[in-house]
Amino acid sequence: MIQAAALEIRDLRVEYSAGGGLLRRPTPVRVLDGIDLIVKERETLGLVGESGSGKTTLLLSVLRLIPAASGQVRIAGEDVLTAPRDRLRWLRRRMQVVFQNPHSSLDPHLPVHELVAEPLRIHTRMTRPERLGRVTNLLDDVGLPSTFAKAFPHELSGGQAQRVAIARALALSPTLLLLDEPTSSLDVSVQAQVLNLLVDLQQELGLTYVFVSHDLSVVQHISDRIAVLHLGQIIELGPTERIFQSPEHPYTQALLAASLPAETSGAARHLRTKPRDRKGLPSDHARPGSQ
Amino acid sequence: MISLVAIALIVLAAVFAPWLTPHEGAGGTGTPDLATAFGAPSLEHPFGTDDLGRDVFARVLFGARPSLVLGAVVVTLGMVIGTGLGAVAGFAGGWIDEIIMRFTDIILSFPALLLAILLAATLRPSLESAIVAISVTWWPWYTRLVRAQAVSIRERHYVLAARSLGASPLWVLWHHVLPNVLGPVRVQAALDLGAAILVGAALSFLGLGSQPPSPDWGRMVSDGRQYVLGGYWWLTVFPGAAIYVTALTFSFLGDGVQKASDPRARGMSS
Amino acid sequence: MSVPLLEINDLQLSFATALGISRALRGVDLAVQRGVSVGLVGESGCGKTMTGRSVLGLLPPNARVSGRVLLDGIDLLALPVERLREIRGSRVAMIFQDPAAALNPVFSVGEQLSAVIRHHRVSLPGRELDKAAQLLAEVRLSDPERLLTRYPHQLSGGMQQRVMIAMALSASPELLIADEPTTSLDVTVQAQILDLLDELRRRRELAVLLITHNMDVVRRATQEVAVLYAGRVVEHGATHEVLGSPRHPYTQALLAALPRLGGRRQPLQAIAGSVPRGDEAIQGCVFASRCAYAMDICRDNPPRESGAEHSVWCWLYPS
Repeated sequence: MIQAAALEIRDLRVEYSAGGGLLRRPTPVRVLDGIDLIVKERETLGLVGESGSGKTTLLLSVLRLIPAASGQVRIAGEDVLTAPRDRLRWLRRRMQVVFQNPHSSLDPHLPVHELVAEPLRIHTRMTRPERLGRVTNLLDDVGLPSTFAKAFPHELSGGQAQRVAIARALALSPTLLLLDEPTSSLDVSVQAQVLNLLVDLQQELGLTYVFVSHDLSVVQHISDRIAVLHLGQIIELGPTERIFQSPEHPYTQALLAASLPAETSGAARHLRTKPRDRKGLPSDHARPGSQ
Repeated sequence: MISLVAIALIVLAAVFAPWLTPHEGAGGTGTPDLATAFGAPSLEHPFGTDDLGRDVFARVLFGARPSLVLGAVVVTLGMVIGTGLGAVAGFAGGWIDEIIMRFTDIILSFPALLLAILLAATLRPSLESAIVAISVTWWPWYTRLVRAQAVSIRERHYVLAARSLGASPLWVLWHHVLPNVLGPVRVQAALDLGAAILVGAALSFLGLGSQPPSPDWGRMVSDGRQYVLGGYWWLTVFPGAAIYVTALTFSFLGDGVQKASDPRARGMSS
Repeated sequence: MSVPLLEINDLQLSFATALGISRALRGVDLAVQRGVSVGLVGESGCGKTMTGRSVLGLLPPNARVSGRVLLDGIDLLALPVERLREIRGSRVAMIFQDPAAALNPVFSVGEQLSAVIRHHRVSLPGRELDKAAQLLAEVRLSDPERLLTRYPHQLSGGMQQRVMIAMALSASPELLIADEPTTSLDVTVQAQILDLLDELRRRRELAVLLITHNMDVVRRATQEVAVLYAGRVVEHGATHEVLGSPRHPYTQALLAALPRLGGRRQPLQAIAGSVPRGDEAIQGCVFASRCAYAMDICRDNPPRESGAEHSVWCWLYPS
C-alpha cells in the first residue's frame, strides 16, 4: 500500500537580501537551498536543526507567509506557492500552524473563545451560537473545560495556552499540522501532557504532523521519520530509529553526540560510542508498512 | 484620582452653567450693563464685572464649554486620523508607509503652534476653524507613535497566526493591530487633553478662536489685558486661572492614566 | 567533609505586590563546596533564579528576605550594601541566560572587559587589555587580541557567552552562579560551554551553582543536584544518584515525564495538578497537593530532612 503524500516540497529555495547600500548590490543569502521533502499522510515528520538551519523558515514558506524564490509546495496535488487567492484560502484551511510560544501566538486582548473562533469567522458563515458550540467541542478535544472560554491568554498557564493554540489550529479540520517547537517553552511535566495530547489527536483525527524541534528526545518520541536540516539543506532523512542508531552524516552524529538522552540507560550510552558505519543511501525509500 | 473629581467638577460646571449663575445673559455672553462696569469681586458678582458690565463669573463658567469642546474634539480627531494612518503605514510598509510618513514629517517640520496659527488665520476666525487648525497639527504625533507600534506588532506571532489562518490584511489590521496599539494611544490622548486646551486658549488669545461676544477664556484674558494696569485685575486673572487649573487637572489625569497602564505596577516577579 | 563555601539556610523570599504577598522561596536549604558544581533544577516558577539572585542580593525593592546565606561563614543577607558590593564580582560572580542582553551593545568586548578589570583592580593600571586578552584565551576564544575590538553583535551566541564567562571570572571569584547559561544556545554549543565551565571549575577550584530546568544539563555538568519545587528544596544528592534512584515523588515524576529513547509514542507520565501559586500559603509539604503518596501528615507539617549524603524532604522517609 503506497501512502499518499500529504505534503510535497520540491526544490524549495528561500532567500533574503543582506548587505547592500548606496553603492553595493545586496547579496542574496540562501536560507533554504533546494529542499525536497515528502511527508506521508498520517505520519509525523520530525525536523531537527540548529538556529540558522532554516527550519522555521521552512514552515513559514510552506504556509506562504514568507515569499519563496523558487520551488513548489504541493498539498492535495495543488501548489500552494502559485495558487490564486481563492484557491489559497481553501488550501490554507487544510494546513494550520502551532507556534512555539503560545503567549505570543495568541492575541493578548482577545478571550479564548474569540481566539479559537477566529478561523471560523474568517472562513465560514457559521452564526455566533454555532461558532460557540464548535469552540466548546474543540476545547473539549484538547482537554480544556468550557469555563476557559472566557479567559484571557495571560490568565492561562503555558500548557493551557498551548492547548488553546492547538484548538484554534484544529478549528477548520485541517489535515496537516505544522508545529514549530510546540513544547519547547513548556515545563517538562506540561510538555508530557501536550505531547500525549498531540499523539491522541493524531490517532483520532488522522492528522499529518511536521514537528520542528531542537530537542532530540522529544523529536524521537513523536516522529516516524526525521529530517535533519543544516544550513538550508536536508542533509539526512530517514526513519527515527535508523537516524538515532546509525546516523550517517557527520553533522547528525555531532548533533546526537552533543545532546545526551535524558536517561543513563545502557542503550543511551551505547548510542554515544557506537562506531559509525556507512551502509546504504542517506535518503529515505519508503518501504510498505515501514515504521 | 483627585484629578478625576476636579475634572468632573469642571465638566459639570460647564454643562450646568446656566443654572449656576443668574447673570447668564444671551447664551452665556453675559448682560452688558455699563452702570455696573468694572465692579470688583463681590457677593453679587463673585468674579467681578468686566468692561461692559458683564458678570465675569458667568462668563468664566460658560467659557469652559468652548475650551472643553475644543480639547475633546481636537484630541479625538487627532487620535482617530493619526492612529488610522499610523496603523496602515506601519502594517503595510513599503511605499504606503513612505508616502504617509513623509507627509507626516512635512507637517511635523512646522512648529505646531505656528502652523495652527497660520491655518486658523487663513480661515474665518471662529471656534470651528480653531478646532480644525489645531487638529491638523495634532494627528502627526499619533501617526508616529502608532506606526512604531504597528511595525513591531506586525512581526508578532499572533499576527503571523492570523495570516496563516487566511485572514486578509484588513482583517488583521482591524482585529489584531489596532486593538493592540491603542494602549499608548490612550495614554497619549489623556496627556494631550490638557495640552490641546492650552493651545486652544493661545489661539483665542490671539483672536483666532471664538469671537466676541461669546465667552472664551483666552479671549477674555486678551481683552482684559489693557485694564490690568488700571487696577482691574479680575478681568484677566479669573479666566487665566481657569485655563491654568483646567490644563493642570487634565495633566494630572494624563499622568494617572500613564501610571495605571505601566506594567511595572503589577509588581510580581518570577 | 570540608566546610562548604556557600551555605543557604531556610532562605525565604516573598514580594509585596499590589495583589498581596507572593511567596517565591519557602525555605531553601543548600550547600555548595569548593570545586564542586551543584545543579539547582526545577520547573518554571520554582524559585531557582530567585535563589541565585538572593545570594548576590540582586532583588527588587519590594522583596522581603529571611534566613541565612553564608559565604565562608559571612551572612550575606546581613551585610550592608557597600560590603555586598565588594563581594559581588570579586568573591561571587554570576552569568545569565541571554548573553546578548547582558553585554552592552555599544561598547566593544575589550572596553567592557577592561571596565570590569579596572573596577576590581585586578591588573596594573594601563594593562587592562592584556588581562582581558588573557581571560579571553582562558575561555578558549581564538585570536583574543582581535576579539577585543569586536562588538557583541558581531559574535555568535556561544562566543558571547564565553565573553560573559570571562567577565565573570576577571576578579577570580570563588563562587560562580550560572543561571541557565546554555538555554538560549544551540545544542552543539551548549555542550562546549558546559565543558568549558567544567574545565574552569577544576582549574580554578570554583564552586558552581548551576541553575537550570534541563535534566540533560544537570547530568552532563554537575556533581550534585538539588531539586527545587515551589520554593523548597525537596531532594539533594550526588547527581548520578538523584537521577538514577530518585527518592522524592516529585523528582520521580519529573524524570518519568521525560521522553526517552525506545519508548516511542507511548503516553508520557504527566503530573496532575499545577504548581502552587505565590499567593497560596502552604502549611505542609509543598508537593502534597499533587503527590500520589500524600498522607495526612504531609498536608499538615512540612517534612524534615532525611538522609545525609542523599537527602530528601519527604514524610515517606524517616527523619
